[in-house]
Amino acid sequence: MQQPPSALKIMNSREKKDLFKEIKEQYGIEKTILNKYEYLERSDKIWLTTRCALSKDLKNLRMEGIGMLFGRRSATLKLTTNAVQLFGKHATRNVLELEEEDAWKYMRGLDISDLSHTELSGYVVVKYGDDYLGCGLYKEGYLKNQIPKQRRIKKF
Amino acid sequence: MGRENKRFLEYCRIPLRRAIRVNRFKISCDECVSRLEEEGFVLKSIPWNKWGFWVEDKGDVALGNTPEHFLGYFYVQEASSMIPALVLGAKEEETVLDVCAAPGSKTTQMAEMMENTGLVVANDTNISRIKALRYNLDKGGVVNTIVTRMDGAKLNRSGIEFDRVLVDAPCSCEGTVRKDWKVLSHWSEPLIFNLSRLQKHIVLNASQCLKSGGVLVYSTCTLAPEENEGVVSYLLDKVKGLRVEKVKLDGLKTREGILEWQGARFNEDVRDCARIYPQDNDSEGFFVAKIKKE
Ligand SMILES: C[S@@+](CC[C@H](N)C(=O)[O-])C[C@H]1O[C@@H](n2cnc3c(N)ncnc32)[C@H](O)[C@@H]1O
Repeated sequence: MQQPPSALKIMNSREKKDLFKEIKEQYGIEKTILNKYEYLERSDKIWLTTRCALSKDLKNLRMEGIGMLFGRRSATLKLTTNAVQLFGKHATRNVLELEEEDAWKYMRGLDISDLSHTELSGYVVVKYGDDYLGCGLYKEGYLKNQIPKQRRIKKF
Repeated sequence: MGRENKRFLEYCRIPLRRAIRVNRFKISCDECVSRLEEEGFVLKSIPWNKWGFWVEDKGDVALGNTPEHFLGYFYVQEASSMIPALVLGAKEEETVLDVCAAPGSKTTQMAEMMENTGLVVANDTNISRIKALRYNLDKGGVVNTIVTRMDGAKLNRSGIEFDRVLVDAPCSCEGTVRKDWKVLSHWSEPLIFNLSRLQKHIVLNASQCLKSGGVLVYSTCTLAPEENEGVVSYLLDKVKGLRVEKVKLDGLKTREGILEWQGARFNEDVRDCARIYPQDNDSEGFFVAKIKKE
């Protein structure tokens, strides 16, 4: 495989294995969902793209971006809003389901308080019904909104 | 053309029907449609695209403020703008070049047709439009793209050979007067002349990025012959081994390319290009040429 320009680094199979293990432990998403893609990282950010994209000689391209921003490493792995909307339905762990009214608030970028999911802590997949809204940071009944400003539903 | 002209102008005055394209990565057509209908929108299938629907606002919520929009279940895209990607027909695992891609309505559509496999190189020159492109790709759950910022007239330097190339060229956008009457005011002949020159440079270079047996689609949202048949005719005369193929989509009425304009005679083969008139399909005007490389 070719190395793309800039500081993006393609994950090798060892690194991918660790990533899949981490995601499986944290969100319960199976490796079979994720291992058809390739992963790249730069500092704390992770992108995913196709094998085909990385099989090309990219050195003569002025790249502005590759694939989709998938997540960010902090103490644990945080999935992006877009990654949750795409893969959230495969999550079986750390999934937090909201009531309708809270779901609307969440899509508008508000934090949600007075929740009672005692078993959860840290980054969670936030859902309402069959809709996977995005990632959230949960601690002791409080869900901190993680949806980027531009991405939220505007107030009306 | 007297009566036709009148109908054309009549249609230019009727506000355009809004349309959406359902994102198959995230939801089925049936489910997306029934959810929007429950919210009070009225949807009607677009005959030439089974993922496309015209949407009439009836509810109290604007389309852009619905949960379905937030979730990326659909992309707002004018009905005739869905045509070029359908004509190009990108398939799974192919390598595709989108020369003028921002803000990505056709890139996302092609990625969906390719089931998120293979590669689309999505290029543009305009930084702020590239930002919007990247935002739309991420929101749509598109992973099979590389976004680049290069002059469309120099992309053969990439050294990559493509199965399919889309040139959705910058144009004077006569076709979009129904979206915005203001475009009429910056129409001018020197503008069209300069655009036509740029379009020729871009399409000529794009044709060099094509594998043999590959397909190139050239499209604009204008009906000015200088920017359409004139450009395709230039390409055909300049590069041997290219052939124009007829554009055929179910339920879409098209008209033949024009062979003569203001004294200039074009290459006969431009007859097989497709003109899409507002009054024929109640859409924006569009021009699409499908070109096959031997
Ligand atoms: C008609 S718009 C493309 C719309 C896009 N295909 C879509 O469906 O969303 C034309 C684009 O060409 C870009 N452009 C202008 N000059 C260019 C050049 N020399 N090379 C590449 N792109 C160019 C503009 O920035 C603009 O985004």
